[in-house]
Amino acid sequence: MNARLKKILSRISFYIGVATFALFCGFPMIWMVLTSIKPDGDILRATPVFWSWDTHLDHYRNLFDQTDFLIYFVNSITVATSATLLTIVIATLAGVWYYTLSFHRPRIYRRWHVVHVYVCTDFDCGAVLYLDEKLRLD
Amino acid sequence: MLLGSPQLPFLLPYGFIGSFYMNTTVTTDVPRMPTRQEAPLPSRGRRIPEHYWGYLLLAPAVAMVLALILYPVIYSGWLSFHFKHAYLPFQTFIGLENYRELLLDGDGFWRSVYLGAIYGFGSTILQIILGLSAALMLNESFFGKALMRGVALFPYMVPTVVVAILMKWILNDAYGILPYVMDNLGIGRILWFGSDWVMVTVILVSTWTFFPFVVIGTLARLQTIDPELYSAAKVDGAGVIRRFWHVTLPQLANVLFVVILLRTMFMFTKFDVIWLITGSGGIGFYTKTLPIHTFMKTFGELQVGAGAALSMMMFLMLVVFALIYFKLYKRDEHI
Repeated sequence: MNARLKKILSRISFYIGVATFALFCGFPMIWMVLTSIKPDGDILRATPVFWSWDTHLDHYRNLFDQTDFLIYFVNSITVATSATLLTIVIATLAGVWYYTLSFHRPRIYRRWHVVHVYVCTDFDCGAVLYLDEKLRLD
Repeated sequence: MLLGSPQLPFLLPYGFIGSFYMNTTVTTDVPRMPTRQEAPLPSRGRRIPEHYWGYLLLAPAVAMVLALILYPVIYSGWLSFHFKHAYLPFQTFIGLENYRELLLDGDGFWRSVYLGAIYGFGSTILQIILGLSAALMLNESFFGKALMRGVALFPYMVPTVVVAILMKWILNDAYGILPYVMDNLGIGRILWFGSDWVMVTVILVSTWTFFPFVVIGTLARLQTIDPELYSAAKVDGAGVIRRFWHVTLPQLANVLFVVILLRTMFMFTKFDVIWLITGSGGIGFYTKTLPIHTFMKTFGELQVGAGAALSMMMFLMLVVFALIYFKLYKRDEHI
């Protein structure tokens, strides 16, 4: 096998890997979208139907007609917006102080900002922030 | 970028960091406007000490931590020494009885610790393997790389409740697509929600949901590795595997260390995914991890005192874990 062919095959196998990964990450979402526009009969078939030619938007219409979707939606927006605003205000005030601390008391800052990140923030996001800072320091 | 920005200090009253920048003396012959120091200062009262501003700025964050973290933990600790029913407005002090009972409860407490450990370590290992592989792939140059990076974050952005519904649908024994495909490929049908497989199912679903966290962490580090290290390794005759082992892994070691420990802690305390997929009764018996057991004790059996003791035990386990984590990390990083 010559080097060119080997390179092409290697590239093809790489793209197969990429496609598999994309399918792994994206398929559940695609399946959810397709299910949402299928008729009920196709959804509940023992032999799953990937694409139904009898697609409709009745399920979306039912959301608005038969449920209090808009109320739930407004509730979610209210909770998300107010929590975000409150977090930004509180975290910004504390952040300004930590910023000054980083100049005047770097030792205390380096010790406490880790604790602050872990305790005061949502743990996942705090960890991402911490990783980001760590990478920058590296 | 906020850090290092010269504007920010002047936002602060009296510019107490501003003085840090003003120490530099600039000499010039060009006529200039009188500086702030030369201009007559308006008479004003006593300056507010700098550290008072610090207290003021930190006060809301401290109040939140005290009210939403410290108080519940202390109250939970206090409750754990009492017999307390959820609907009765009084409690009886019983000392360490709640702790004694749960430590002797092999089918409840220890079993939930065991299942929690399987779930926590199992899903963490898979997340690390998958996340690291994905990060290595996304670090390569290929057509559609930007799109793929977005797709890789997809699972992390989907709300947990949606993930649970979606996966229960896809894995459904009667009309799920995955059992059908596996059956047609000759792999055979797996009862994903049967007693033998349900733990594997929640581990796999959790892996799918949370592996992008590992991708974010490791990919960010991979992008900062000096390409000359790989060039030098190539010159030395190192192949792909040896380059990964001797260049990539050592460079990723610090980040992986943090990611592995964080993810283990997160997964050990994970409640929502397991609860939404299996619940507590029936098949939920096989996935009754410590958070589920605690929830059931408190809100199912209404034994608030015993539930508080369980949550305190979980808290202590995490404290011990965090201490080990910080100890090891400190040794490694010299914080």
